[in-house]
Amino acid sequence: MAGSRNRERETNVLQYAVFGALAAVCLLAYLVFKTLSFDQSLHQQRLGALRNVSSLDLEITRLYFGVLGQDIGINPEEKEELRLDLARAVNALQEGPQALVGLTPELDAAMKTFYETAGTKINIAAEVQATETERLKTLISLPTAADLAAIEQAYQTWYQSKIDETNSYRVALVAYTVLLLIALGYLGYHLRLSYRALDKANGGLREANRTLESQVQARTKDLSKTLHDLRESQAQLIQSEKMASLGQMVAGVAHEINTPLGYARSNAEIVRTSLGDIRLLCETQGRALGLLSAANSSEQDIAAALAEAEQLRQNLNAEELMGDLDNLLGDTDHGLVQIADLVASLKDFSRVDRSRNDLFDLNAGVDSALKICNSQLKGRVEVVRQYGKLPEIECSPSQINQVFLNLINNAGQAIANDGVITIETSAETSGVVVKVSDTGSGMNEEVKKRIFEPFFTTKPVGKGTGLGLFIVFRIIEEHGGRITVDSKPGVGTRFSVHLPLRQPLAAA
Amino acid sequence: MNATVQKARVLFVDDEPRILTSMRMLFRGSYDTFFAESGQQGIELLKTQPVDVIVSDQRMPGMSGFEFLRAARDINPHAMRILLTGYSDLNAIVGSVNEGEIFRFVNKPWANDVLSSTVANAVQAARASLQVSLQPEPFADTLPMAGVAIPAAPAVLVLDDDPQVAPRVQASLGTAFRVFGARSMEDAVDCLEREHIGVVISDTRVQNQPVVSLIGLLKQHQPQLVTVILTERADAGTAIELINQGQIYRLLTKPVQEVTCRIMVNSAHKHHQHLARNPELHQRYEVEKPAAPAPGAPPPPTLRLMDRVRALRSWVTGTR
Repeated sequence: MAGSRNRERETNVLQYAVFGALAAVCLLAYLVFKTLSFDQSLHQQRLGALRNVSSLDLEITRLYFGVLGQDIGINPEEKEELRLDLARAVNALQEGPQALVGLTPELDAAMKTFYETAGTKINIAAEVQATETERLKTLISLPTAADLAAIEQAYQTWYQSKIDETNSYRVALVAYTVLLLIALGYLGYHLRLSYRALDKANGGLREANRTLESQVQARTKDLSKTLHDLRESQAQLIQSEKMASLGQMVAGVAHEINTPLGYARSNAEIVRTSLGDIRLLCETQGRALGLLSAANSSEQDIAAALAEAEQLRQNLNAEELMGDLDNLLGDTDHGLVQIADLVASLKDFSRVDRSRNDLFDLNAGVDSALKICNSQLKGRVEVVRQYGKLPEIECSPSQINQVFLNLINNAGQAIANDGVITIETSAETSGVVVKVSDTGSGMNEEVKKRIFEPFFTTKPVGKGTGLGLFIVFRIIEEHGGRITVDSKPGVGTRFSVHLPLRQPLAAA
Repeated sequence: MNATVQKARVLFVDDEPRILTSMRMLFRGSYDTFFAESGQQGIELLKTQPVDVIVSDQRMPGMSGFEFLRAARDINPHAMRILLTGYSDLNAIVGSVNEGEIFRFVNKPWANDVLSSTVANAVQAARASLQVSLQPEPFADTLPMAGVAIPAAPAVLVLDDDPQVAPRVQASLGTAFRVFGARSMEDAVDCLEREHIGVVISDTRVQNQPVVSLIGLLKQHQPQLVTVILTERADAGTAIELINQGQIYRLLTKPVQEVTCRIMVNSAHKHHQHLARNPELHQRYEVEKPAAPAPGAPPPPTLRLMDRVRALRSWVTGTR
């Protein structure tokens, strides 16, 4: 907008400048023309014509004056020639380029007077005879010379005025030229300034061009550093979220392990304590047996030893004790198996012993995640498993397990008291789908729209990082899958995870 | 009463029946044992059976151990409460000390002899205090009244690195209590020698030293002294130590509201008066002897300081 307006103004300025320059040149031409218009040769011709008339007139007058009073005839040939010459000369004053007509009124009046006088003179000259003294006298006395002088006078006046006019035009021309020169100088100065500014701008532009590349490089470096920092802090956040969920998991698993460990240890101690009693019983019985088999033992001693052993056996309630100890050892066994199971499920869950990308049965993944979450769900939430037969899919098992753990944890947290978590798995044409549904609090549309955003959380500050579902989303995205969510406030939520059978080569 | 002949009654609550089996085997010779597999079952049982000691798991489905013990305290305040836990969650610990008034925390897996002696101590304490009412009766005559300056207003000792804490506590208590500040354990003992202190408010660490040994020593020699922990650096391990070895009365996290502070100090003071009047109760707040210090552990307060604590004159036993 501003550019086009500027261009318009520039065009206008250019037009004005062209018109101005044209007008200046026209004025200059006009002034030069005015100065040059006066023709000096014409002036000489005019003066010549006048002198011609004057000399012819004088000759005629002299001719006729010569014959006056003498009885000699006038040479008719000479007379006629002179008369014609005069007539031609007079005509020359009236016609042709050098004519003296229409210059000034005074000149015209003088010419008119002269024409009459000259006409009369020529007429008389044509007819007069040498004898007609009176007419001769008249002819001679005709004031042609004076009239001619008047004409010359008038002409000279006009000429002088013409000269003056031309002079004044010259002065004007000089003044105008000076003016033009000043304007030209001013323009030149401005032009020079403009050129200098242009040069400077050009220099700046060249400089900018030269440094542009390095500037672009510097900016690019800054930007990529910022990007790198951002990625790093995001990675750190995700890591801290993983650590937080790991901590939660470890706390749950620690309790799960410490309970069987508690009774196993206690049982072992009880068994050891009881072993002391049993050893005592064995020793007592052994002593009695020894006495029995010894040759030199008295009946009394044998009876006492046997009685002591029997008493001890009854006190200890040995049969019952043995049964109890059996039970305790059975329990201990059970506890140790449980611990081993838990450790195995931890290993299954973390998948540290397997490559990053592997063929994996998602049903097993869901099972191991459920085992990890067990302590949070036990007794409170019923878990319904509706597993379909699944083909093994190519994925990163530890990441996919993390997805299931996060979804099951969220489902468990959405259920305030009692509820049901249903996990359905099924095969699709190009992949598998795992649906995790809960009968928890559900979400409204607004929350539902934002749950996959990083840092979005409905938990109180400090309780959740808001990264759990974001990580889920990212893992599924990286696997080329998708996750959808259906939810109704007060009814529950269902997450559906779709994963492809194989990973695209680029992601592998 | 044939209390001395009758076996003590102990209730065990755990959602894992094998734990209960183990407990039965361990304790059947010594006590009358009762078992419940959930908090609800335990409450039902408590309504009909007077027991002396309750041992409960913390993490149980439905009702947590701390919720159960809080309810149990309302039904049977006489019973000593022990929490058996395989998982230390700070919130649960703070809740159980403040609302459940736990005698001991025992970690899973436990050592049988430690658990046995803990239960035995609890039984002894319960038996000793059987005849004494556990609810502090309202001491209307000595109750500090807000706005009225009593010449011998009860004294509170604040042990904290931050010198601002004592004035803030004084501000929230008004003239009802006199508050003394101490910034080191030596200062604290000086103050205890000089003044008639009933309630100590302390951070968990002072001058980078844990206070638990001092608190335990004080409780051991001055059982009527009531300690409240006011801290911003609470962790589960320290809290359990302070409960088991220091028998702290309450654990609060900073910042604390003025009203809460006032209520807490009033209640601690009443508890102190109650303890001072009824030495039979002291066993209920007996501290666990600290484990032998590990070679690298920070040294306990100097011997001199410990001697001074032992020599502290009991102000309260002298009066009334």
